Amino acid sequence: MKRFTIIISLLASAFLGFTQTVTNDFEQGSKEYYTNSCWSMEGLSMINNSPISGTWSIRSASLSGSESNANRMASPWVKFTGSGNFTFKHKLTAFSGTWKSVTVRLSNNNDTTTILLYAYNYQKPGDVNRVISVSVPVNVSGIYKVNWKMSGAGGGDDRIMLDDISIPGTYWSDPSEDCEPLKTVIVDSDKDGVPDDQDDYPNDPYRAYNNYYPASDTGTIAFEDNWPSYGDYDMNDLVMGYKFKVVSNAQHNVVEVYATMILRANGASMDDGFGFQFPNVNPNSVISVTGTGNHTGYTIKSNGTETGNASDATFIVFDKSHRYMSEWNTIKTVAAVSAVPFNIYIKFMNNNNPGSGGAVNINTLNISGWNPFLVVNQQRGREIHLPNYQPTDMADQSLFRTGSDDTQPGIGKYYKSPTNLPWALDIFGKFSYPAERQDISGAYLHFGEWVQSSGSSYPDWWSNTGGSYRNNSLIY
Amino acid sequence: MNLIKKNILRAAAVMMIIISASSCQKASLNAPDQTVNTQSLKVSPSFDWKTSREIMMSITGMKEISPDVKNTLYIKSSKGDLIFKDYFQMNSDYTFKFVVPTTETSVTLVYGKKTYTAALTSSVLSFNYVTVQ
Repeated sequence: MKRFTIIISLLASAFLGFTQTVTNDFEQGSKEYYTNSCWSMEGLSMINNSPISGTWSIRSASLSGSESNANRMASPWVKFTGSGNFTFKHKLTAFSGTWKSVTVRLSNNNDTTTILLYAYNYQKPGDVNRVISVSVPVNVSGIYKVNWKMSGAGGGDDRIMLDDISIPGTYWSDPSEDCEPLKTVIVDSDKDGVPDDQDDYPNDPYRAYNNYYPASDTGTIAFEDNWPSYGDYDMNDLVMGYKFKVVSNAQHNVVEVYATMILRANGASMDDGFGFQFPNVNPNSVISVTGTGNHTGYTIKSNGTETGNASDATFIVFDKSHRYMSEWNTIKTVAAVSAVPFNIYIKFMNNNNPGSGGAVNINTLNISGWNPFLVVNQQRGREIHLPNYQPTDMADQSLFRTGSDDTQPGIGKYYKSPTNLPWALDIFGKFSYPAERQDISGAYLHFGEWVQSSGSSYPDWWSNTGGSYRNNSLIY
Repeated sequence: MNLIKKNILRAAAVMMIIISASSCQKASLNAPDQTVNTQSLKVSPSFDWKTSREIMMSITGMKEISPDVKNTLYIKSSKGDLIFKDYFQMNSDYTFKFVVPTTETSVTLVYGKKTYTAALTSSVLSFNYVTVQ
């Protein structure tokens, strides 16, 4: 039988020493703010004209009619522990008619218990515009709301203002759950702090969440491999699909990454390699890597990362594309071969123990900032990156500004030509790449407009929208 | 050839010229310039060539709330795809990034039973459990 471990979450709050009063001085000046933190303010308004103190107070509507039409305010749920003083201030702005009063009661969750804390009948004319400070000892235990009721007869401009509330108890509402009382029983089978109903791994204390990048579908990296010279811009010399699953724990640290890299096409006579980096991730934070292809010509450390990259974890997916794909998958008259997946597993934590480089926070991993690169024809120093993405430490920087390359590290320009053309593109979805020797600008009929508008026109240029986005005869 | 035949042929030729001229004009109005190649494109130095964009999310916690109020924050695309999720205390501040396609115009945030929708008018979203903008 499955065992459930039930913990009382509030033990934690006792040890945390959370402040044991619930206060409201209305200085946020926004009724919406207080409503979102579970104060109920029927018929009341925030005012900054002659407040009781500070800049803002809360004020009733005009007081008229019987008690059933009274202006009301209720606090969030508060857990009382049997001692302390309840304090607040109130003021009547005018007195016409026959009577005005304010009462304060405690009520429990189903209103079966109400306890009168305070009642005041205003005296005419002495109480008009007089700030009355209240201090009432509270000797109850349990979970209650504090309810103010402001009543009167005669209307006119008669209103009651409230301010500087202090309730001796612990805030006990959950604003994320319709302001219900905090749950005292949370089912957290693996005791990692994430409730089972929100935990992707409810029985695994070392894992909590899966996040995917891209969120839906796979992305595509498409390369021209003739860098630093121009190619034919068919963008199919190497075409890689990609998808990441990042597993994190309750402390927001990365446990492991599943990187699916899919070799879809290698429309090039050169036999290129492919790799990627996680910038700013210490290579020694990686415990192990499995699932990559062959690494002939590369030096790989015992933890699976490439040597020579001091500050950025670097992974070589394969050394030669033609080793894995017998056809180019870009020539329309040649039957395609299946795409080749590389299911790479990168381990960052072992039972909550990180690699020697320390734990990697999910923000530090920054999966969307991954840095893919092509290695040209097994020449390790000749690598190609997305436009303005930095080279690895293994890049031969003497190739910069040769051929058609205009890389200038000083201004952050990388892997672009003098006319700012790239050698790689990252398409945020599955990309139908051009056929062999078909320029992408001819295959995708709005590509040029997208580029020349700096992305403002046809941001969906690569989609199959309507019938006017593609020349299908030029697409593989 | 008699005169009638000649006139018919002449008229047919004229018709064909008119029709083909119209076709050319229609084609030139609707078809993109097939002579454009990538190397001839005029590219701004600041163009990033991206089909996605980063959104920096800044969460300001409600400081008066108990630290025991915790829930998963889900960020979803306008199509309902889950973009990001993580577990946050409602009284704490957080900053993180997420990525959407450049075509994305809005996202939905879900925290417990509360739902918020935000238009992506800039690269920064500020969220305080009351509003998101």
